[in-house]
Amino acid sequence: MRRLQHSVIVGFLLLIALIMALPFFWMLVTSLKSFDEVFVNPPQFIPASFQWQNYAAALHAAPFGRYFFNSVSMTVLLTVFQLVTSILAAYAFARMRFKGRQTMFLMVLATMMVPIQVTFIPNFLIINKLGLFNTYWALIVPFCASAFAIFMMRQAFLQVPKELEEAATLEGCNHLQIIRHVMIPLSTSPILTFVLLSFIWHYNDFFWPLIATNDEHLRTIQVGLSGMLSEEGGSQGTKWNVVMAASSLIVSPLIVLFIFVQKNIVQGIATTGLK
Amino acid sequence: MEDQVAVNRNVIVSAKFTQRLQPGKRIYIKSLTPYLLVFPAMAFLIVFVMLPLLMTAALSFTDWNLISVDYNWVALDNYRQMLTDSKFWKVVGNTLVFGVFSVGFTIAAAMVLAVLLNKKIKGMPYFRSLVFMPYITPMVAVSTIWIWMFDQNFGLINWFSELFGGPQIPWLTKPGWAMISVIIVKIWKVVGYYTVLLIAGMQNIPEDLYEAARIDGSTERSLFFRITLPLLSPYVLFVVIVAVLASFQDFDMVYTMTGGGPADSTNMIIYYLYQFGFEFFEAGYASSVSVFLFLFLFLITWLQMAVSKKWVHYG
Repeated sequence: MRRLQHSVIVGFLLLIALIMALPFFWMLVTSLKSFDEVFVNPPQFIPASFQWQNYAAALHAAPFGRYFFNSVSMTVLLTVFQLVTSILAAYAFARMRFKGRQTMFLMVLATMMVPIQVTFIPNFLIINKLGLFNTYWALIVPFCASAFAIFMMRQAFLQVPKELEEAATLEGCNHLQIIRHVMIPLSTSPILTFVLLSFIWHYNDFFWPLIATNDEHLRTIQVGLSGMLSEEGGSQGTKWNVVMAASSLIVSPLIVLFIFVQKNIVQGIATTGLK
Repeated sequence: MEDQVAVNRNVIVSAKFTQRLQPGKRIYIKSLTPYLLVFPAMAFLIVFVMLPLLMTAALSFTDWNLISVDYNWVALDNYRQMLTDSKFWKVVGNTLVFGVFSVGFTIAAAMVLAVLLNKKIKGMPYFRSLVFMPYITPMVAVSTIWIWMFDQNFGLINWFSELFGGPQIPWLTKPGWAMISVIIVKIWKVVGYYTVLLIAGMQNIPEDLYEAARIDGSTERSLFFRITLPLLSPYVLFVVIVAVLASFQDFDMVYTMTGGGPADSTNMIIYYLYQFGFEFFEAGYASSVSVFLFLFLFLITWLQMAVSKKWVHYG
C-alpha cells in the first residue's frame, strides 16, 4: 500500500515535471528545425537534421550581441549601485541612533509598497529633464536605490553580534571599516541572495527599458526579442525556428546561472520571501 | 556705543561658533555620519519613487501630453472621463478576472505541489528546481514560447488536444480563450515560486506536532487539515497578497502575447495605462489611471489584511 502510494506520487510528479519542461523542450526543438519543418503536422519531436544555422540567423536578424551587452552591463551596474547605497543605509538603520531614523525607515518601507509602474510617467519626465532620455543612464539611474535591498540588508546586519562591532571599534576601525570587515563578511548569504534576485528582476525587466529608450543601440535583450517578434511577422509568417533560437539564446544565461546557484536561490527566496 | 555692542555680539557669536567647532568638532562630524550613510539611498528613493508618486497625483489633474512643456489644469476631467469610459471598466473587470483565477489556481496548485515536494523522495531537489525554473525565465521569452505552443494550426497544445479527441481551440484569437490562455501561462510561470514559499512555511512547522498526532492515530488527511493548513495560514496570507499584487501589475505578458486583444479581452490596467501614457500620449489621463491603480492595490491589500483576521492563525 505504501509502495503503491509512493509510485503514484512519483508518477504524478513526473507528469508535473513534463508539463514544466515541455515548453523549454519545444523551444529547443523548434529552434533546430528548418523553416518548412516547423509547419508540419503532426509535429516532429526530433528535427530531421539539426539546423544550427538558425542561431546564426537569429544573431544576424538583430544585434543580439549588443542587446546582451546592454542587458548584462545594465544589470551589473544597477546591482552594484543598489548594493552600495543599501549597505550604507542599512548599516546606519541597523547600527546607529540618530534623529529621524524611525521616520526615514518608515519612508523606506512605504516606498516598498508603491507599485513601480505607477511612477513611470513622472520618471519619464524626470529622466527627460535630467537630459538622460535615450542614454544608457536612463536604464540605470531610477533603480540605483532599492527599498527592498535596504530592508533585506538591515535584517542581515541586525543579526551581527554587537560584541564584534565593539571589538572592531576598539581596534580602531571606523564605520566604513566595520562595514567592510565585519558586516559584509558575516552577511554573505543574504547579499548573494539579493544579487541573484536583482539580477533576475532587472535582466528580465521589460517595461522601463521599453519606454526609457528608443535607440536601437540601447535596446535590452527583452525589448529586442519583443521587437523581433513583431517585425518577423511578414508575408511568410513568423520565422518560428529563428525566433525560438533567439529565445533560447536569451533564456540560456539565466538557466546556466540558475543551475549553478539553484540551492542558494531557492533557499534565499524561501527565507526572504518578498517579491 | 552701538559699534561696541555690535563688536561684542560678534565676539560672542564667534566664540560660540569656535566653541562648537574646536573641541566638539569630532562629535559634530560624528553626528553627521549616519545622515551621510543614509543620504545616497534616500536621495534616490525620494527622487525616483516618492516624488514621482506625488507627481502622478498632480499630473492626473492636467492634460499633459508627455512631451510638450505646456499643459492645462483640467481638475477632475480625467477622472470623469475614466469613470464613464466603458472600456476602462472592461479593463478593470479583466484585471479582476485575471487576478482571481490566476491567483486562485496558482495557490491551489502550489499547495498541492508543496505538500508533494516536501516529501523525502530521491531526486526531489531536481523536481523543485524544475518547477521553479519558469519563474526565473523572462516573461517576454515565456510569452514567445507559449504563443508558439498555442498556435491554432501548428501549436503543440492543439496537437495534444487532437490526439486525445479534443477540439481545436482558437487559443489566442478568440476573446474568452485568450483570457484562459494568459491565465494558463501565468500559472505555469509563477507556480514554482509560491511552491517554494509554501515549502519554507511547512518546514517551520515543528515535526513533533505531527508525531504526536500520528500516535493519536490521525490520518495524513487530517494531519494536513488540522496541523499543516492552520499553521501555514500566515504564509498563505502572505503568498496570496503578494500574488494578487503581482497579478494586477502584469504588463510583459499582455504586451507580448496578446497586445490586449482580441477586442480588448485581455487588456488590463497596466497595459491600458501604458497605451494611454506612451502610445496615445495622454499622460494626464494615464496618471489618473495610475492613481486609480495605486488606490485599488492599496485597498485590496488592506481588505485582505482585514479579512485575514478571521482565518489566519498566528502560533
